[in-house]
Formats: sequence, C-alpha cells, structure tokens
Amino acid sequence: MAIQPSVREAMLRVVPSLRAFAISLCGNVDRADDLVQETLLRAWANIDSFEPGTNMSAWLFTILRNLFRSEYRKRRREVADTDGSYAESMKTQPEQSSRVEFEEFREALAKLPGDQREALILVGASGFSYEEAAMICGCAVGTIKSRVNRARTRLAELLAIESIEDLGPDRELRAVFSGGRS
Amino acid sequence: MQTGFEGQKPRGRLSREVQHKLGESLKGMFDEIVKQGVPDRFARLLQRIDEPAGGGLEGERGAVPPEGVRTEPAVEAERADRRIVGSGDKGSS
Repeated sequence: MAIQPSVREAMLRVVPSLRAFAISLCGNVDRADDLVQETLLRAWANIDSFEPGTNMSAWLFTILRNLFRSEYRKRRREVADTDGSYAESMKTQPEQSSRVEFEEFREALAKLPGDQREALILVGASGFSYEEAAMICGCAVGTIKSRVNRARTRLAELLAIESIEDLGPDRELRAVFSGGRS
Repeated sequence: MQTGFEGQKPRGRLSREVQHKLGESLKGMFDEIVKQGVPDRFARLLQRIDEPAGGGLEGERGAVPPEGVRTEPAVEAERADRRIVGSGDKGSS
C-alpha cells in the first residue's frame, strides 16, 4: 500500500527524539536503534490504526515503549544494558567537561527503576505533558507525577553521592546520603 | 567531580535549583542525541515503505499489531480498495 508522504514525513520527524528515548531507556545505542527500527516497522504495519491529525510522536513512543517493555520482560533485566556505546556516540560533542557530566548523568539515570526512568524522560526531556506520558505508559496521571518525583529525588541523591565521594571531606553529609540507599 | 547537586535536601522535596539542574542535564543529554538527526538506516527504511511489491517491508516482518494499537476494519477495508496490487500486506482477504 502507498503511504501518504505526509505520514512518512511525520514519522521521519519523530525519529531523532524517538531514538533519544530509546537510547535513554536501554543505554545501548545498537539495541536502541534496533528498537527504533522495530518500532517503525510495527507502525508501518499498523498505519491504518493511526488517525491522521493526531499525535504521531505519542503514537510512535507508545509502540517503542511497549516493545521495550515486552523485550525487557523476556530478558528479565533489572538494570539498563550499558556497554559504553552511548559514550562512543557522544564523540562529536565539543566540550570535554560537559561530556563527562553527561556520562555521569547517564550512569545515574541507568540506576533508576525502569518505570521512573521512562516517566522522567518523557516529561523532563521529550516534552510530553503528564497526560500524554500517562497515555504512553498506560497508567494514571498521578502515577506519572509520583514516578517523576521519585526519579528526580533519586537522581539528585545519586549525583550528590558521587560528587561528595569525589570531593571527600564531608563525612557527615555522606552518611546522611548513604542512609536509606538500597 | 563537582556536579553542583550537593545542595539538595536528602529527604522530601528537592529545591527548585536542584530540579532545574537535573532538568538541564536531562534535556542536554537527550538533545545531544536528537541533534544527531535521522541516521541513514532509518531514512532508507522509510523511503522503502513507499516502494511497490518486492521492495516493501511486508516480506521482512509479520504485521503483528503492537500492544494497545487498535485496528479499524472499516478504514482498513476502504484503504484496501485503493491499495496497490501485490503489496501482500495484512488485512487483505
């Protein structure tokens, strides 16, 4: 069947952020790109169920998220699959200092539970509203809000711990942060 | 390394400053990937979507509906009428 050029263009426009979502979810560029490809193929196979004029971005993100989840269930993995290919993909980035910062941030992000990570990325980086994120994840808006809050708190803890350990001196503060860590 | 996150409270709500910093880092990381644009492999993939039988995608993968995606029989049937012969995809009886 012929696909409307406008639909194809709409899909193409979503690819960069869809890819960023996939990489953020699984932390492995090759696996993420396979996930994006699988998503585009699924979307294409089911293009009839896409209503023109509705949110192509949310539709593709939903498909990718469900694919990732079902694969994740199969693999029974608890942590993101990181192999350094993400850092490899950052080679083009100009500033060394921010690259290090991104790498640290990415590592902390990978330590979050999957549901918190996806909620945070959808709302905090992909530009979706809480309502859209809830639709994509198939849960209540309140659930998304609480996951985002927990994700932020946990990230702040993780990043603070790293910096305190690097700086060394403040034992008392470190003890405070260490409390309640799993 | 100094990351600037050490000012937050260990329990309860994060300060606005910390939330802002986290948001910036998250967006920065995400946008770095977005800036890479569309890799050739996906541009080619979507290009092939429009090609007639033989170059299409249906032969490679089954048309398995993703979770939560509805199909609409009426629309499906209507589109089938206008479909290019020989595409051999789902839904044609």
